Amino acid sequence: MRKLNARQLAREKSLFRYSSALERADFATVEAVLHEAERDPELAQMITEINMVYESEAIRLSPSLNHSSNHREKELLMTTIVLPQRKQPSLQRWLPVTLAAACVSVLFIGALLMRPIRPNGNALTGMQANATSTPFPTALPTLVPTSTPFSVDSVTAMPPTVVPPENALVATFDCNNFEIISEALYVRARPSNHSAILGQLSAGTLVQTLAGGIAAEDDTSDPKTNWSFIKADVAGNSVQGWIPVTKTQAACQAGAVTLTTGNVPQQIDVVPAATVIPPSEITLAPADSTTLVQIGGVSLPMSVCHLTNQTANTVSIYAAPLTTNSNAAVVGQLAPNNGAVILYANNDPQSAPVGAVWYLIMTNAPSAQQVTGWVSANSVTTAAGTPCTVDVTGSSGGASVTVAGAQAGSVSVAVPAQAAGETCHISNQTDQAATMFAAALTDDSNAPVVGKFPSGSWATVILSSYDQQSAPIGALWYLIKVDGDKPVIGWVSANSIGTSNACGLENSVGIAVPTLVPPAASSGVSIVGSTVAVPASPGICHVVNGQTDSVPVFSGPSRDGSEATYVNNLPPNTPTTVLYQQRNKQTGEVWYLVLAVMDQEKQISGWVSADTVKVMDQCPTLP
Amino acid sequence: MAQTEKTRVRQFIEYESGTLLGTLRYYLFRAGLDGRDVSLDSAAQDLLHDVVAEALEHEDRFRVTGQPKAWLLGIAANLVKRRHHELVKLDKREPLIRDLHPDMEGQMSDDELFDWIAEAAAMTPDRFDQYDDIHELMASLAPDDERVLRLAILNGLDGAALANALQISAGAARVRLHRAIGRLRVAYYKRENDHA
Repeated sequence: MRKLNARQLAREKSLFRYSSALERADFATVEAVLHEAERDPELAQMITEINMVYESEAIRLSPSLNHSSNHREKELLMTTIVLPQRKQPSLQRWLPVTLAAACVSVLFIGALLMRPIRPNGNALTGMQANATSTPFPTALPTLVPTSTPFSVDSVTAMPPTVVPPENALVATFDCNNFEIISEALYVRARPSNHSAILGQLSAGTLVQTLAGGIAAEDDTSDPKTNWSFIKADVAGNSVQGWIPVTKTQAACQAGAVTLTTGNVPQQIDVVPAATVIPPSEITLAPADSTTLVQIGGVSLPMSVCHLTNQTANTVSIYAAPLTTNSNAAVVGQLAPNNGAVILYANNDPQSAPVGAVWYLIMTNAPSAQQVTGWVSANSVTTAAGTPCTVDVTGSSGGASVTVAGAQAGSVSVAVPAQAAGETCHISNQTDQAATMFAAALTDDSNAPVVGKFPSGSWATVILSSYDQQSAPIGALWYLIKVDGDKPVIGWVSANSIGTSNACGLENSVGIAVPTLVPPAASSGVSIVGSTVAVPASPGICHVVNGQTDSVPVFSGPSRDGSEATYVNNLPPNTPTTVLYQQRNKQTGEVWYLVLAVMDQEKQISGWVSADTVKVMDQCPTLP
Repeated sequence: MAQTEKTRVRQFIEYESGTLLGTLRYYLFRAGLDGRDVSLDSAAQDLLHDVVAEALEHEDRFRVTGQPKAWLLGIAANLVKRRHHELVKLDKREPLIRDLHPDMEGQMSDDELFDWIAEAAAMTPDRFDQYDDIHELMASLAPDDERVLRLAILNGLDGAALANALQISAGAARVRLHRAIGRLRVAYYKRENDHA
């Protein structure tokens, strides 16, 4: 290892004191180091260098909320001021507009993320338990959170596995851009074998290609191939993402045809043998019998344990426990007073005592679609008087034990039941204020501090983000809003607040959204290199800058400098999600509040005039 | 005070006030003094005005060999500190940011923390490999932080060498390193608490 001379090491140490002091706003120490730097040109230079980095961070702040990195600011920085005149305090006129836009943006993102992805659900999906009655006794397309039989790199998300029908898929459709998967494969968030897995398709699955793209830089597939952004709709479950083009074959020639696939090799995925001991707060009544559940011909033991949604709210059913995959998609809903069979329970001790226990359930409402997925124990309670047992395996000891509580139906959780869709609050349970950052440090380790989350206080959770690679420490982050005279929005680590009550909110990043191309126009259209990842929420429509030059992005729906500020540029050919639209009452011009996520997850958000972009799909009509 | 010293300070203000303003803006942002009743830009301009006024008033204190930027920023830091106190007096319910900050500094000072890392960096590679304590802690960090720390230790905590290794600017490299060290401290205390 290389050794620094003592003086240089002392400078590095002083610099560390300076930046650490700045982080905690300790200006006495800052002043002391600066005093030292007065006599040390080299230290002064080092301070100047890191000041430049900090300043750039302060300017960009949170990528989606900040609108200060504008030309006016840059011009200000370059202006030579001989002796600056004191400026009279005055609120910038556009500030309320900017804040409103930011709030609208946050609210919409939050609302869209909390919205079930597929409210109608699949008509006949679900595992068919012997104990339940079902109009179709045969194995049907199954949506099961599962472990994967494949060896892959950097698996960061494990949404449902879609298993196609056992025998026949008969459909009539316009086969433009339809292809059949030639071998089992993963659907990924980006055109790279190193990106997150969004789903799994079995051989024979019919997919629709929405766009084409070249491989991302980190793709190491051998041989290197182009990728397709596809949409697969199997029994009502929509799976969208990127697949290698070599794994598909044309479904048919152009024109409307009837396609029949028979004897499709079936991919059988076993329900994960997860399940951990539920915490002592949760008691499940003993079972009187154990039956078998058939999954793709495989019999698995299932304990008969029912739960009922005893809250007044509809509960979201997810593809995976949010404690293990905060990106898990909503696969269905459990209405108030509706029941379901508990197949497995999963406890994440790190999330204890709140939000730790999740149940894999199968809905069993009569005359309704059957859905299998995960619900938080916080959002439901077990049905009183219903016997049940959950075979569980302790995470620490690894031994298989049976939990057999005596009090039937008694469930107590530390926090009142909270259904997905309700406002989620979180408290700082430590005795220290937690630092809030402009971005989760798992995403941007240089993210600046934007505020504090005081000890013992509460905040509203807007989003959560779980980075598998950072597990077990610092993996879970929340985007929170701390109310007060001056509300602060920022990211806080679950570690720093001593809790991880994920209220069923999903992460906003890393999920690819299709580059929508109208079916009629999509033939032959290829958006090369459009490796754009934008929030999971599809927004209200999608636009693209079809011009050769960038189009301006403003802080509000106006070009008038007194109402909005020019904050960014939207590069050409950047597919962009429209979160909201509004007509400028003065000019009559329609404006879109857009969000585009560029390479390296840089975000561009703000308002663009409808006249400057091309609508890719249909935006709702404004009155 | 020699005329040249006065000239240096005045020249610096004249030519570098733009960059000074950027730093002042960041100080105010960090101190939480922005956005109360004026925008951050306006607050930074006000602060710059005060810094310049203060500097000109005490021009004779500036040393001939001194670094004008560090001197002016020192004045600014002092003014920020003063404003902070004034603000707290005006609004007693609002705590100082540094009071809200996790009091890690109190448990292991910045100097102690840095010395601990420097001690690891001073080890021979063989000895460092056997230093399980720090390896275990570093392994608990995010991969980027761990990499930055390992590179920094390998390069004797030399920010310039770290910047070369990371192919980024020296300032950015040092900011990353400082934050990684900060998170190492958090990991250290988490582990201590867990053990306790």
